[in-house]
Order: sequence, then structure tokens, then C-alpha cells
Amino acid sequence: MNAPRTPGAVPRKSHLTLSTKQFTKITGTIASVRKSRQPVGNDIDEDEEVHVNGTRRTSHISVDLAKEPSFIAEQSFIRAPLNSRVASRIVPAKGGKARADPLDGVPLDIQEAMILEDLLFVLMGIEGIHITYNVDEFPEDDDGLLKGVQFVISPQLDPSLRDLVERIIPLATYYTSISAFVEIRSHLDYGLVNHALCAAIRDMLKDYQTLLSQLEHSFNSSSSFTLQKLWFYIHPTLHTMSLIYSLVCELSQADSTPEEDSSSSSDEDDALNEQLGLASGLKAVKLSEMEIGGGGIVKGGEVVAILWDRMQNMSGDPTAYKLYGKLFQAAGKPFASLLERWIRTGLLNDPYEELMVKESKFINRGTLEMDYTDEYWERRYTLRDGSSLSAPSKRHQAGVPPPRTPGGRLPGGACIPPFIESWKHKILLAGKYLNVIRECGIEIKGDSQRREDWDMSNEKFYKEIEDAYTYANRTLLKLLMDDQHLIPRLRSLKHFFFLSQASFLTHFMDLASSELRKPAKGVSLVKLQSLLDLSLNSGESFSYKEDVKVTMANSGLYEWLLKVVSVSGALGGDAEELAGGIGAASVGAMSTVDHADETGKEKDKNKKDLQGIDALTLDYTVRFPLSLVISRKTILRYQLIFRFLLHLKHVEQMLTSMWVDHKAPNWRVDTSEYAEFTQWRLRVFVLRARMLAFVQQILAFATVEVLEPNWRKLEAKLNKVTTVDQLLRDHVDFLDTCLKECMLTSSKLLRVYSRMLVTCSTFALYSGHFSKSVNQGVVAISQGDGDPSAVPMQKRWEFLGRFETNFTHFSKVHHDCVQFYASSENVALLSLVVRLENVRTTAQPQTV
Amino acid sequence: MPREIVTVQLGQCGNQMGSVYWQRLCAEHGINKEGILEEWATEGGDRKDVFFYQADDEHYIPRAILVDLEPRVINTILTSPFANLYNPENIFVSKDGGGAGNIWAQGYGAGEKIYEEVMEMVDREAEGSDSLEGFMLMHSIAGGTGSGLGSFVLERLNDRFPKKLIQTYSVFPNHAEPDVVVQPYNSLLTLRRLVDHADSVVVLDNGALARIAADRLHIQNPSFDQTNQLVSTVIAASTQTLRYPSYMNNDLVGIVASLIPTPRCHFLMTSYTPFTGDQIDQAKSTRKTTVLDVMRRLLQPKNRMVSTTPNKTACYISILNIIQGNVDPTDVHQSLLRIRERQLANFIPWGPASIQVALTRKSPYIAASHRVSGLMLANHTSIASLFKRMLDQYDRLRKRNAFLEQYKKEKIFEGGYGEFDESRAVVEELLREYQACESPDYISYGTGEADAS
Repeated sequence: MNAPRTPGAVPRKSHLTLSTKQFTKITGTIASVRKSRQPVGNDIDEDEEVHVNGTRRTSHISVDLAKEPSFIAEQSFIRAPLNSRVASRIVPAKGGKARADPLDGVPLDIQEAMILEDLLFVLMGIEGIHITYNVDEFPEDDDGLLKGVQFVISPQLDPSLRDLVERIIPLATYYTSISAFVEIRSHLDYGLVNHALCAAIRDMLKDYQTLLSQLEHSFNSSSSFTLQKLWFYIHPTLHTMSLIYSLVCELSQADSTPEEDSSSSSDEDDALNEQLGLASGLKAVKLSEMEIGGGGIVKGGEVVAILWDRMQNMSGDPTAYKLYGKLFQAAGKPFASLLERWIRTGLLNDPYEELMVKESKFINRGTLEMDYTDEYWERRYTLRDGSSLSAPSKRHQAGVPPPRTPGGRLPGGACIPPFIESWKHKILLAGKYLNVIRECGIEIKGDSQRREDWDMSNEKFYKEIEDAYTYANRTLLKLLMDDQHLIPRLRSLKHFFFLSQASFLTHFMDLASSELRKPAKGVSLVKLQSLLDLSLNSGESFSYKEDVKVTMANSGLYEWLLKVVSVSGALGGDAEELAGGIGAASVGAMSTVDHADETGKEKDKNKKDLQGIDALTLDYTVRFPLSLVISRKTILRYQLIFRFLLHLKHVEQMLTSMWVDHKAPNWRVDTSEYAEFTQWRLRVFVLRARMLAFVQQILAFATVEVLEPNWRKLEAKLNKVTTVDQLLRDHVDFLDTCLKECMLTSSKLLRVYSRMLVTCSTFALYSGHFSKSVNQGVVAISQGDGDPSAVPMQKRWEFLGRFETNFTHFSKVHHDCVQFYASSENVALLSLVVRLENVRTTAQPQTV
Repeated sequence: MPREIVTVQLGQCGNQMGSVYWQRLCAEHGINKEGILEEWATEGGDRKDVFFYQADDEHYIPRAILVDLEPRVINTILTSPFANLYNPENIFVSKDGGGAGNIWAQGYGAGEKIYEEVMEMVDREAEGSDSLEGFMLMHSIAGGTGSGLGSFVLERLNDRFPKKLIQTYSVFPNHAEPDVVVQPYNSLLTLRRLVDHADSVVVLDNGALARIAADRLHIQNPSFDQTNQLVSTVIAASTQTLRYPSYMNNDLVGIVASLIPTPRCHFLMTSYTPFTGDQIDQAKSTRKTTVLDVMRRLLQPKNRMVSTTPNKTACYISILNIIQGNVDPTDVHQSLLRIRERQLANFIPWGPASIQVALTRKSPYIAASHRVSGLMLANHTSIASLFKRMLDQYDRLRKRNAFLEQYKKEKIFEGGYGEFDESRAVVEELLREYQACESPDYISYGTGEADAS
């Protein structure tokens, strides 16, 4: 009968007994002392003797201590408040072989009575005389305890009884396991859901104990109480308990995954690196969050999810289904009320991080004004599983715990119970919207028909979510559209940034022309601002003009755009990437923090060369909650388009003022005798006309064929938009489309295009030079009297030729480029191709 | 606001045109005849200050200078309901009131005498604006005051404001039914000033206006007022982009610069479609107006407000279509493609050649029966035929040395008729230049290219 005991187990057994001995001697002393002594005693005292007659000796010692075990096994003693550091464990008593002996030769009915008495103890987790703890597998820590204590039956027991007892015994294991679970998981750290679950289980255990006491009563009072009867009574409970036990096992095994630590720490490192750009305060918050989040306690949503899964999987078994349903109800209650509070009022009071919605408190409205990454909207409230973040870049993933290795379920609050998996976005958004509304100072009317508890397994539950979502959505949309006048706001942005009524800009540029010719560094912003106000105040009234501010960019438009394009790594890449790129590049190009010295220096250098007009840009002040829609990121896009248009306008103005120069008498005077001189003059005219036509065509294309139609589309969309997120998406899509169709997303096009404009503006800059040359020519003619050599043409041709060659070359390259993109990825450019073809002259000068 | 434009109205024709034009502008901007903004005129988005300024009491006052050598027309204006609209300081009527007797030389000569007073008005208006864009002159080239005084003012303006744009709306005489016998002389002499001193001339051909009135509107003998309605519609439309700003073409220079690549060829012709009953009585019944339809009609010679003799080689130097109304921008692209496909417009072979389109809003205060209406400003070489005709008429008259005594009285002709010959040479040169434009060799890229590289 010693068969189950493997030789290797022997030292352990002796060690346990020995420690028992020591324990009794030093009862009340600190456990750590005892622990440190254990191995010593083990080595010295036991190792040799055990071999010889280990059993004898140990049992002998045990006898002395026979009275102790029940006391020690009683956890409540060990767990006395002041004894909290003592490891909690049921200490198995002696091997029990000596005591089991009496069964030998005892009549069957006596044996039955004895074993019945034993069983009544054992079923409460207390060791009996004939049924004892299985010392080999006796649990050493909480984890083990949660698996339950194994019992061994005395080998002397009659096989007929033994069979029945063996069937009953697992119940004891279940009980020990479940009660350990209840005890351990009732700790605060495990959260409300676990608490509720434990309470529910405890109630069931109470029923079980009542059953036991009834059985004991029958055992004491009735002589006809047999093992069979016991089995009969206990049998249904066995099933129930086994169900709870398997639940408990699943719950307790889930969070003891070994990989947890390493992976979460590496994740921390990532998070740390990602946060480098942010303030260190934020980092700390993030880190502490990580530690708790990565701990991997099974709680909150995960518990609910496990319960739900079991409920579904066991739905064929009525008992199980009912049992789990009951537990699910109980455990789900705190979860449901958290959820309900969130979607109804937007309040999140989730100290144990049980709900899948996460609030990052450090992201507040203030960050909205300076940050380009839509922090508030995107990251203040997130789903713990990370699925609410649009860009799956690593940066955003900080804070999402890694899934559990077996099963791939996310731990703790990050786990979204499957029955609300498909609703998670609605849940997140409902509360998020409500929070935005609250931050606007509008009180959210508490729902009067609020029910006390939500039945999460009921169909109605989904309706409640849907209702709450619709309510929040409609309220916020109404807030934005009606109270905050979103569409007029956007329209004013179109006025200011897309120059849909460009006259104010013409006036402003007239007024500020001397200021804008200065290098960007020397420009007085105050002066420009007052000039802008002046030009906005006279004439037609613009709404929201007080929110428009003049600023100076740090780098030229094209360098910046090229940087953006190269960061996003996509030539004309899709909108999503561009968005990321802009966000990232803006940090470098526009950040207020100057942490990178070398880029800072480079910027300074750029700024020195930059002319006021090239750096000029507008800014727009938006207040919460409109800033959710018109975020920094979108204003950045508006600015890009504005600067693109501004530059075109500026070059157009330069060329028209060159035209004004060309209307001077000396340009007009009849010089037909000097064919070459006349011809040269004509060529200057035509080159200017070609450049002007080019600039105007680009401008017309960008405004009439890109901005205006897209704007109309957006307006149509906004008129029937139903969700706020859709609105945000439409707005950003609109801007990205505009950027793309204005050819600002392809580095190749950008390069050629900027060369074109540089050629044009340089040509216009030399207008005075040409005029001087003409004046000299005319003077020479009036004196020269018909002598062709009086006007030397060589230099004039050379000078003009350079511009002509350059312009012709670049316009050809540009045209080819546009054509290429029009036929490949940017179909909108087709009409530009047509426009440019119209502008191209049939009699192209030969480029040599 | 920015880029103000000062209008100078000269002579009988100029002042009549002007008064109708101002009435129209007032109607479009919701300004009543006293210069006060109507209460319902709140839709905004328009720029009134290009053509008006606001007096201390918020009255809108046109930036207009009214000049005539005889009091009749101006008196009519001053007794009309719109009398209070104008700044009385800006009205000049010659004290002797004799007029110019349809003699260019008299008008030009009068200019010397009244120069100081007129220029004072001009200076005051120019200084009253933030950034003056230029001047708009309205006159006819056939009579005495508009042509003679007009020429004089043109010269002086160009001299005094060399960097400002001078655009004229010049009414050319109806060559078939001359009102004045000496009109060929007057026209030629004025034309020379228009060539040398104006930056852009919108040619309004009385002959064509009469034809359009007859063909399109079924008025056989249009009154001055009816023709002036046509003209004012055209002028108002050509300034629409300045008054109702949109993305582009918000300044006159920008518009004109693209239309006139070489400074001498600056005579623009116009077409307008459709004329409606609101502006003209008995207008033809309306038809379907789409962007394509409007643009196609604009290109038809019969809608041009200049009578030219058809010519196979004639071609456009440039076109700007100002389309008014609520138009889907994508229609414009489609229409341009269609027009290109059918080759409805021939362009010069040597320069940028495209139909530019400016989209503007219509005035919200004027109900129009048409969804879309359009004005074409075009620089077309066939205008040369007009000059040719004028030269022919002049030559015929000059050969007989008819009616020259009237001219000899004035200072400018004291030394003989050299002025006539010079003017003829200038116009002839212009004629040649327009003809040369039609040839691909106009700009020969061969010359100098070898040296350049």
C-alpha cells in the first residue's frame, strides 16, 4: 500500500514532519526564522536515518504531536492578524499510518461508522484519522492551495467502502480549493468583480456547510445513516462543487503564467522609450500604470468573460448553466454597474481597472492646445485592449498588456467579455462623448429610468447600450453642430486658409509688403497681426476673424513638406501615413521644446535665409470642444494648404507687377527697325505670360478643381453625418484629399514644382534689370539712328536665355511628372494635365 | 479696402453709360439711391469698397468723377433720383458750357484749360484710397468731349500714375450709320492715345450693340438707354470678380495681365450671354443655361460686342470667361474639354493658349431668370479689321481734306496735320502687330538662341 509513495518523496515527508516539530516549539515566532532553519535541520538530522527506518522514527515523533494538527490546520489561527507573515498553509499532520492500523480487522459496519465520522471532517477540509492529507502532493503555497488538498484513504479500509469513499473524497478537495479561493480572492487587489464572485461562492459554501451539519446530525441521531446514504445526499452537491472547482481552477491558473514578468518589463521599456518626448511626470504615471496593468491578476472583465464562456460552453447541462448563470449574475453586477455608469454618465470610477475603458487622467484639455497628436480625443479614453487606437503604431500601444500565453486572452480589465466584444466601440464612445459634453460645462441629465441592476445576459442589455450610445452621440453632435456652430467655423477656415475670398489677402499683402520682404527673423509679428486685423476689418465681414493669428513658420514650405513626405516614407502615400508623418514631423519642425540641438541649429540657419513672405502662415485659435474637430493636426493641414496657395498668390503678384513694369512706354515704343531688339522684348513678354499662365492654372486647378469640390463634398457629408467619429474622419479625409490633390504629398512633384516657382519668382525679381536693359536699348536706338549694332544683343539674349531654358526644362519635367501621377495614383491630376497642355506653347524653344 | 478703382466718366456717352452702370452696381450691392445700404442687404460677402467709399455718415459714395464740357447730360443725372449718390465735388461741368462740338481738337484743347480742376479731383480720389489699383475711363471715341478730352486725360493720367492700371471702356462708333461726319478723324486721334496710354481697352462697338439689340432682343432702333443697359451689364460683369471675391481674379491687374501678354495688343472684345428681361425689355425667352452652353455661346461671333469681318487666320490671344451663378466647378472642366475637342476656339500658336474661367457668385439681390450667365473678355486678332475699317474711313475723308478747318483752330494742329499722320502710323502699326500675332513666326525662337547657349 506504500506504492504511491515514491522514494524521492521521502525526504520531503521528513522535512515536513520536522518542521512541524519545530513549529510547535516556536509557535508564535516569526515564520522567516523558521524557514531559514528548515534546510539546516533537514540536512543534518534526517538524510541518513530516513533510509534506515524513516517511517518508524517519524511516526514516533508524530505521536507526540498528535493533538496539534487540527489546531494548526485551522487557517484562521495561522492567519491571525499579527501572524500575517506566516505562510498560509494547511500543515499536514503525521503520515497517519500508525493511526490507520486500527482499521485492520475491524468489522465492516464499524469501519463504515468510523469512516463516516472521518468523512464528515474531511468534507470540511479537516484531516480525519483514516482519511488523511496526501503529504506528497500537499500544497506549499497559495497556488497549490487553490488546486485543492488531496486526501488519501487508509489502505486498510475495506474495498467495498473504499470505493464509495473514493468517490466522495474529491468533494473535500473541491471544498478546500474553493474556500482557499474565496479567502485569497477576497483581497482588495482583486477588484469588485472577484469580490462579488467570492461572495456568491461563499453563499454557496454556506449551503454546503448547512448540508454537512444536517448530515452530521443524521449521522449522530440515526443509526440507519450509512455511507450509501451519505453518498446519496452528497451526490448532487458533488457535481455543483466540481463545477465551482473547475471555475476556480481556471481562474487561479490563468494568472500564474511564468512569462508575465519578462514580457511586461520589456513592454515597460518600450513605453519608457516612447514617452521620452513627453514630460517626465507623464512617464511616471505611465510606468505605475504599467506595473499594475502588467501584473496579470485575473479580475474584472476577464472574470466576467470566463464566467460567460463557461456559461455558454455548459449550456447543455442545466445545473451547470444555472449555477454559472447565478455566479455570472452576481459577479457581473459590479461590472455592469461600472459599465452602466460609464455609458450613462461618462463617469469612470474603476480603481481596480476592471472595465475595458481606460482613462488617462494626465491627458487633459490643456494638451490639446499644444500637442499635434490629438491626444485628448484619441488617448484620453481608450479601450484597454488597444483596439480603439486608429494607428496601430507601436507608440500607441504602450499600456496594452500582452495577451496570456495560453489562449491568447488579454488579462484583467483589458479582456472584453465576448458578449460585448462587438459593442466595445459603442461603449467607449458613449462615455467619451459624455465626458466631452461634461467638460463643456453642460450637466448630463441622469437617466431617470435607471435600473438598479443590469442583466447582462438579457437582450435588453444591448438595447440599453445602444440607447446610451445614441443619446451621447446625438447630444455631442448637436453640441458641436448647433451650439458650437461647427459648419460656420469650418467655413471661416475655408475663408482664411483656402482663401475662398482672397481679397483680404491681397490687401494684407499690399499693406505688409515691406515687412514681408524682410528676413523671417526680423519680421515683427505684432505689426503683421495689426495689419492683418486691419485688412480683415475693412470691407466684407468675416465671421470669427478674431481667431486668426499671424505666425511665422520655422522652415520653408517645400523643405517642410519634403521632410514630412520622407518621414512618412511614402511618395504620395496614403492618408493615414501622411497623418502620422505630419504628426511626427511637426514635432521636429514646430515643436516648442528644443531638445535636439543640431536640428535646432539647422532650423536657425533655415530661418535666416527665409523671407518673411515664405515663412508667413496663419494660425487659428479654437476652443474646446471644437478643438476636437479642428485639432492642431488638422490646422496644420490647413496651414500647409494655405502656404501653398499663398506662395502661388505671391508669385502671381510678382508676375503681374512685372506686367505693370512692362506697360511702361519704353516697352511699348515702336522699334520695328530693330528687329532683334523687338524680338527680344517680345520674348520677355511671352516668357512672363507663360509663367503667369502656369501659376494661374495651378492656382485655378487647386482652388476650383480641388478645394471647392472637395469642400462641397464635405459639407454635404457633414449635413448628414450621424456620429461624431464619422465627422472627425470625414474632416481629416477631406484635408488629406486636398493635400494629395494639390500635389503636396509627392516628393517628386514637390521638387519640380518648387523649382518652377523659384524660376518664376527669380524671373520676376529681375524685372527691374530687364526694364533697365530696355531703357538703355531705347536710348541707344534713339541715338543710334538705324544702326543695328547700336544695341548689343548678345548679353540680353544670354540673360533671358537662362530663364527660358530653365523654365522650359522644368515645365516639361513638371508636366511629365504630373502626367505620370495622373495616370498612376492621383487621378484628380488629370484635369491639371489638360490645363497644363493648354498652357504649353506649340512653338517650344529648342533647348540645347 | 484694397485695390480701389476710380471711374472717370467723360462726355455725353461716358456719363450716360456711367449713370446706368452706377445704378446697376447699387442694385447689385443693395445700396439705395441715396447711397444708404438697404436693410435687407445683409447677405454680405461682397466688396463694395472697390467702387464705393463710405462717407462719415455711412453713405456709400461712388469713386466716380463726372466730367463733361456741356451741362445737359450731367444735369439729367443731377435731376434723376440718383442725384444724391454722387459726390458733388467730383462733378465737373465746363463753365462756358459750349461742349466740344464733336471736334476732337476742341475737346483736347479744353483739356489744357480744365486740367487743373480735373486732376485735383483725380488726386483727391487717389489719395482717398488705401492702395489704388487703377482707373476706369468711360467714354466714346467718336464725339468731341469723350474722345478729345478723354485723350487728354488719358495722357495725363498715364503720366501722373505710371504704375497704375488704366482701363477704358471705349464706345466705338457704328461705322454703318455715322452720327458725326468727322468721326473718322476723332476715332483715329483717340485710338492713338488708347494705344499709347491706356493699358487695356474694352471695345464696345456701337454697331455690334445695335446688332445684338436687334437680333437678340428684337429692338430695331435701340435707345441710348437700352444700349447703355447692355453696356452696363457688361461692365458690371467684368468687374464681378472684384466685387464678389472668390479664390481668384480678385484684382484687376491679375485679370488684365493674363489677357494681355504683349502691352500693345490690349484691345479686348466682350461677349455676354444671356441678356435677360430684367436688364432689357423684351428679351428673348429664356433657354437652358448650362456652363457648356454659356461658354459655347460666348465663343460665337454673333454674340461679340464688336463687329469684325470674318477672317480665317484670326485667332484668340487669350480668353477669360467670367461665369456667374451657382456653378458646379466640375462642370467647368467638362465644358472646357468639350470646347477643346470641338476646337471651337483657335489660339495663337506662340504663347500660352487656354480659356481661363473665373467663377463668381451672382448678386443675391437681383433675381435672374438664368441659372448661369457669362461674360467673355477676349483678346482676338480680328479686332484688327475694326482698325482697318477705321483707317479706310479716315483715308477717304482725309483724301478730300474735308472738315479740317475745325481742327486747325486748336493749338495742337497749329503746326499742321502732322498729328493725323502720326496717329495713322501708330494705328497702322498696331494693325500690323495684330496681324503678325496670327503667324507662328511672331515669336521666332531661332533668333538669339544660339548665342544664348
